[in-house]
Amino acid sequence: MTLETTDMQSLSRIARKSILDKLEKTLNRPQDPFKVSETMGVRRPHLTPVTQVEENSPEQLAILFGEQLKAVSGSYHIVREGEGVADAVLRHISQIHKYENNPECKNKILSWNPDVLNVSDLSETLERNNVELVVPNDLHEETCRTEASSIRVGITGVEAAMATTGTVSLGNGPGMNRAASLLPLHHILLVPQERLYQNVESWFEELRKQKIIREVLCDRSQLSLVTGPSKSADIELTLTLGVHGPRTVHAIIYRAPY
Amino acid sequence: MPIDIDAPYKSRIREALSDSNVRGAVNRAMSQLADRREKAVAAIDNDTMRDEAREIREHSIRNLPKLLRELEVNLTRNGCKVHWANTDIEANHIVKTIAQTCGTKTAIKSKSMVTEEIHLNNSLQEIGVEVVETDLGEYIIQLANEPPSHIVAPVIHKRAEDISKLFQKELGMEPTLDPAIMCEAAREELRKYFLKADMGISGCNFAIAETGTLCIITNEGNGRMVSSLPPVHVIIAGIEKVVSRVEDAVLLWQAATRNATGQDASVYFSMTSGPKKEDHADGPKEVHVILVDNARTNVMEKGYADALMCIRCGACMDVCPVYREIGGHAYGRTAYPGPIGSILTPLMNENLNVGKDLPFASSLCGACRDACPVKIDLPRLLLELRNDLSKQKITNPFQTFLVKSFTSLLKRPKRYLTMTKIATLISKLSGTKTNTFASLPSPFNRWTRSRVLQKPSAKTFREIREESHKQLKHKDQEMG
Repeated sequence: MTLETTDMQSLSRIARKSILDKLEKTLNRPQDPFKVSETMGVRRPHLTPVTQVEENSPEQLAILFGEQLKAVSGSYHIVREGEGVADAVLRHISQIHKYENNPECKNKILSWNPDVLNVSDLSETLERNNVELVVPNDLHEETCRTEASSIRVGITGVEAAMATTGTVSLGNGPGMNRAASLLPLHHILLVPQERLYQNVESWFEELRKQKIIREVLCDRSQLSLVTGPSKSADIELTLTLGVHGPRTVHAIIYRAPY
Repeated sequence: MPIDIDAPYKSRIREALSDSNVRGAVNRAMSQLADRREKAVAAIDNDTMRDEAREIREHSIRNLPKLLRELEVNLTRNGCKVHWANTDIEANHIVKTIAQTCGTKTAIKSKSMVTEEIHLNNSLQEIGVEVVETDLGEYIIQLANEPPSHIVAPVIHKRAEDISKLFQKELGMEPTLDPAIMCEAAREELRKYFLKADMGISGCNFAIAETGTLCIITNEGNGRMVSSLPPVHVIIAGIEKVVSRVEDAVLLWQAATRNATGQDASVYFSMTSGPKKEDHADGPKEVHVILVDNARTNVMEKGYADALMCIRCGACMDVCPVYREIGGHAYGRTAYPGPIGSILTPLMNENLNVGKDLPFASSLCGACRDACPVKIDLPRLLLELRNDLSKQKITNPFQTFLVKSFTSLLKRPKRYLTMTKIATLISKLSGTKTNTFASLPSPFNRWTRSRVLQKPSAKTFREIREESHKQLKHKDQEMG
């Protein structure tokens, strides 16, 4: 340990004590540190979901989710009876390629581990059509990073999809990388119907009920709630898409098991 | 030309008001943002959301020591390294030490107000670390070497053509007025830094105590990049950011986005709980969390804990008639302009002269109070602050003299009557061509320099009252 880090640690310990002591002293004094107290620190045990809807059936939620995603510049497709998920993916990829005139990385897709995606026949169907799923091992490694950052399309599953806002929850874990939903210009979401919830609150409520809220957050190291493609309005409040993350986000909603 | 933010209060205001380009841009943008916000909160039960958000924040601030301890335990359990800092100097020292230990050459940053507050960029540059802002607005501001002028829309005072000129100079870009093309250029330029940076620095919108999770809100995705790509992630959080439960953060996130930009949900809400695990393909290997006081405990000690509930949505700026006219830079060298800034800036500065004029830069119209998603009574706090400042005798002594003489006059009816008669005499003597004074002799010209002074009425109130009584009596008699 260098002199500087010891110095930093002891300073930090002193700061910790003085901050906590001062807060406690102020909060425990007779004179209230607030000018206006509305609640005196009392709070209701349950919060009201910000967005609420009547719809509850998986079919209704699928449409609502898709439409909300569309409203924030995304797009969606609901897989019909008899149609293959892999085919829907392939169709969307060929559509992207029409716009993207980039032959160099045309046939690669940055992906989660196909086992995690759990769509039967996905890698095989894509392979037959000369599209390769690339699953990065270690993004801190130079060659892996260089390859990953050159790929223009990414595909991932979701932990959950929330209908009222068109939001998906993307975890980060074994076989589930962050890069596939972050680096490419186009992002394809595979959304199994049974992972649809009315709103963000109902998903967390479910996790709370199952007593796994802590595991879900901490095992993932990062959980991202993503609502549509990357955007900015920093220049004269004009909407621009694909600022740093994906410019298009396309959800393929299907009924499991597949 | 950007205004000189280190100039005295009055000249800053004068400069801001005379720049019609900035005034126009800010005014248009603010009314647009306010409209979007209005629609977004009208679509939901905003009263309930505000009540609940208020309860969460007041509960958090009243339980800060307990929640901070809980947060620290859970962050450490998740594998984060937790540091504490009393001041900006200490916070910067910690980041610098981490950078030196890790051999950092390039650091990428996502938008963070607390790092503006502690001037982190300068301090890292001093030890030779290249610091790159990655939020599009902040990046533009960094290229222009200016401070942000709004906490949500930092570059709102610039027009597309100003930004294009800047990009021509700094990035060698062709002239364009299309934001999409400028955006694409910035994407390409910044992507290089995302991939090569060895440290990511971000702020924190909410820190969840029960799980040790730090949340950041972004739309561009830079927050996710900064917290995912570099091997080291440093999160700098003001101590007031802590909330107790996951659900609290989820509600406040929606309250913040609806009020900041009128979105139902921001594009990204990144909830980081720790470094990557062995079997993860990406994510930082080290996560450092710095809990910074930097005068927040002083704000509470001075009795303004209310202001610590702020979730930095910027709604108070968007609706403020004063902010709309003068823009963010007129509030001086501070990370926080607008109504909430007028409270935080003077309270957070040891030197009371910094920002002492800001609590007076308000018409107390109450629009900010009505907009605030956590129901901070901003006009009340501004008034209390004015009161505190005048007690500390750092208000203008001439003003104090005038108010005192007027008070003593009001207490003595006879003298008051004499004074009103003198006033009507002045009015009569000064002629009747106009009913305002063009200017007054010194020292009274300090008033007329920036204000229009009405002449006193030619008759006193009592005279007018007597006359009208006489007339009424006369009429009554006629009606008989």
